[in-house]
Amino acid sequence: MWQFVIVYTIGILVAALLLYRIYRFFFVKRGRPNPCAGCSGCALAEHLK
Amino acid sequence: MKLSDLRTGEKGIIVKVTGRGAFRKRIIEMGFIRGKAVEVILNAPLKDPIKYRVMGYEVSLRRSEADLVEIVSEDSIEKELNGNTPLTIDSKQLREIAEERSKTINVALVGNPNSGKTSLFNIASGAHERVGNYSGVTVDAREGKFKHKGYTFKLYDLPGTYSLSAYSPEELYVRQQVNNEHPDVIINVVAASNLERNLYLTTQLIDMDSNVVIALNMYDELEKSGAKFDYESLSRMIGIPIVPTVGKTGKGVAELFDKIIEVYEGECEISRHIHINYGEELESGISQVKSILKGDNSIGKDRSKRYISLKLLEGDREIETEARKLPCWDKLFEVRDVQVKSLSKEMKEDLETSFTNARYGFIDGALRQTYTDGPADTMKTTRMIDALVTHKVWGYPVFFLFMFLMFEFTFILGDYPMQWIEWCVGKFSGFIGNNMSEGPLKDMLTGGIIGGVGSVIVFLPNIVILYMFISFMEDSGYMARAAFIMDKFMQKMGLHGKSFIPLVMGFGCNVPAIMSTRTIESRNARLLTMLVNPLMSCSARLPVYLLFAGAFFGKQGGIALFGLYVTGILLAILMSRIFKKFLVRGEDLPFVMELPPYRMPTAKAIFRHMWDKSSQYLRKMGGIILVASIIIWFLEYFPQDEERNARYDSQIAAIEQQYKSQPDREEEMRNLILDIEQTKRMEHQKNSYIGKIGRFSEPLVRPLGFDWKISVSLLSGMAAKEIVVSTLAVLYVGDGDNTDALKDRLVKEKQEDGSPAFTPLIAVSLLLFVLIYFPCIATVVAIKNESGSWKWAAFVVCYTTVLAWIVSFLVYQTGALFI
Repeated sequence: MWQFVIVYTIGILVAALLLYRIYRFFFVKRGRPNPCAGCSGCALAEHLK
Repeated sequence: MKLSDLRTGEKGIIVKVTGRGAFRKRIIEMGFIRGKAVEVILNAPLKDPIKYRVMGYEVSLRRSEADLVEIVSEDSIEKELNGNTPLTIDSKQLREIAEERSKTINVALVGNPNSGKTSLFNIASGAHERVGNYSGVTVDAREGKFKHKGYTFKLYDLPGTYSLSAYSPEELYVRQQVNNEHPDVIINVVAASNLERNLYLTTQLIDMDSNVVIALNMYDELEKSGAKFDYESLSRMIGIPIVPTVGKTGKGVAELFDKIIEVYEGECEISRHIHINYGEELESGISQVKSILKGDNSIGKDRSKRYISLKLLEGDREIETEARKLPCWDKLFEVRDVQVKSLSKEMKEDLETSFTNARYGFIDGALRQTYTDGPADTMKTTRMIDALVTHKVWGYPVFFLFMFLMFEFTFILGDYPMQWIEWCVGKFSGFIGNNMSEGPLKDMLTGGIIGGVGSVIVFLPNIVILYMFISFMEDSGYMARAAFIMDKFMQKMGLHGKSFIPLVMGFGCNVPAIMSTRTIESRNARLLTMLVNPLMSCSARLPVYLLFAGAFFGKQGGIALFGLYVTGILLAILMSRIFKKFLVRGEDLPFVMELPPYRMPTAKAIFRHMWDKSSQYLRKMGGIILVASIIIWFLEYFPQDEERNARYDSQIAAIEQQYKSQPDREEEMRNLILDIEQTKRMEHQKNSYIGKIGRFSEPLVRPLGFDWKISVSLLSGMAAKEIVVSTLAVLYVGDGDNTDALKDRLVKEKQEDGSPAFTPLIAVSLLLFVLIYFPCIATVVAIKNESGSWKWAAFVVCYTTVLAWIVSFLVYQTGALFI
């Protein structure tokens, strides 16, 4: 039972994070466009954040 | 806050006066000095001019002049402190804040590409920005902040430019940053190894009447060459202080910033504005145009009238556009056109060339008095190496050999640490599996998280080795040579020689590669390069290649890898020619590119690049790969069918009961149970959410030899290509204990009819599909931003997917006829 609780909690958190990232991608306008949009990739992305 | 923002009756303390030259000097002489209190007495009708009280007397300023004065006021500070502390104009706190802000110096780094700006920026601000030994590395401004002797420096590293004309996006960008952002001081980084070319930009900064300090960088190379350079004399001649620096080691950087403080405080004796003498004819033309501007007081705060006149005579488009907004524009252009016509006739050439020649004449004269060549030829080594690598016959094999060795070493050397990491991941998974009770959490940890993330993390050594080679190529200066020998080849592709560097950068990551297309002056070549860049296989796809190359090609894996990259390049050539012919037509600009001297990259720089790459790869593991693995696991785990599970469990129980009393047939029993578990798993997967998604898309990929699991894995690659591997790891669980490496599981995996899920032919088809199909979302967004349109981004997504399907289809169907 406790395993299901933890798994569902993780599931909800991940789903919320995904929806939040999708919302930010489409609806949050930034002053300067971030070409790395969501990619955690490289030092350039870190700097542009 | 600006002085013009104050309302009638409000008070503030002056922090600094921006702007330039005589304009700024006049405002300071009127009493608007740092640290003084100023009060708004009255706004004239139409809110211009404004009457102020400062230093005990009243003075009027135009609104445009008041815009140049930065202040702090009670209101602005109260808002920042959230109104917690009541303040009055005489309070010590407000004065201290004004004092602190007046000690903030905005500094812009300007200079030729490859002059060492970013090295200086890194040393000064402690940042780790990317430095490469070829032009086009910095494509956007970066900001750094640090303190030195009680002053706060805000440092802006701008892209390298050879001049401040308006030809390419980065030249225009740098000029706009200098003119519109009003840095307090500009550091003009001049490479001591090539003074004549570097000082050309300095002459343009002199024309712009900016506060400049020259960092005479790579000074150690000048000293080593034996040359003698009296930089102090040159400094007095041009009215700009010069400080020798060595960006690699940080020598002279502290002195440089001491000098900046002196210039900022107006205490530098050397700093003065001079006019470059362009000769009698051109000076006469400048005077004529300037006389029209003299009557217009709305200009002059951003740029000097002399500078505007000069640029109009040169035909500068950006200045012309701004000049058309002036009230006197028709008279101005009339006089300008007359001057251009008569001067061009007199000089027997266009005025832009005349001004350029005059600037180089000025530099030549200055250097004749201050510079003496050394005996040693520091370019000897460079020339010897160039004789081979840029040879018209041997250059190409050397290049391809280097590329082949790069991939071979990536595969071979990376295999050993990869096996160690695989072992650790297997042990960790086994530990969880043996010590945790059965349930969904155990399944998620072993099959989802460790399975997904672990399957990608094993490729870290290969990625790092590949980047080490790319970094070496960039830092040593070989990249510029490769662009040089590939220019003719690029032209045949319909591209520009400068396209080569962004294309090679695409082997690392397509996103910075697409951003670096800004260095290509021609818009057509820039767009073409962006369109074909995704065919340059990025490092994110490498885990997929290594997985299948390792599983199905054994020791020939390195050759398979090289073959894939060559295929990508060949496809890029083909698509480039097609696009050039039908889609992006137009003339090309000439190829002008610097070939810097070879430099041995320091071990520190190489290790720093390897560390940076490792840390960003690990961040990706903990970020997007982890999230994707959990999502894929959820879609694969649910919905659970208790009835089906109970049916299979009872079958297993029946077999165990049947073989209980036959210990000699234990192996047979175990095989039967494994078969049942395999069937149970396959049926569960087929009916899971991910199975439904996969089976919906399966008809599209069946002709390519792929099953639904592969189609789902390919779809998941939209976010990041490494996720293809983690998805495969979640879906292909083998016999359930998950301790086998993924590649071994893929080789053993069977379809429902018992046939192998993967064959070498299917592997080749899949590898080609992954090579070509749509790039990750980050790349798509980068294409949109750089091309200025979603149309091109959508086009790239569509054409790459269609091309991938066609190529995989042809390879698989043709191969199936023979195998």
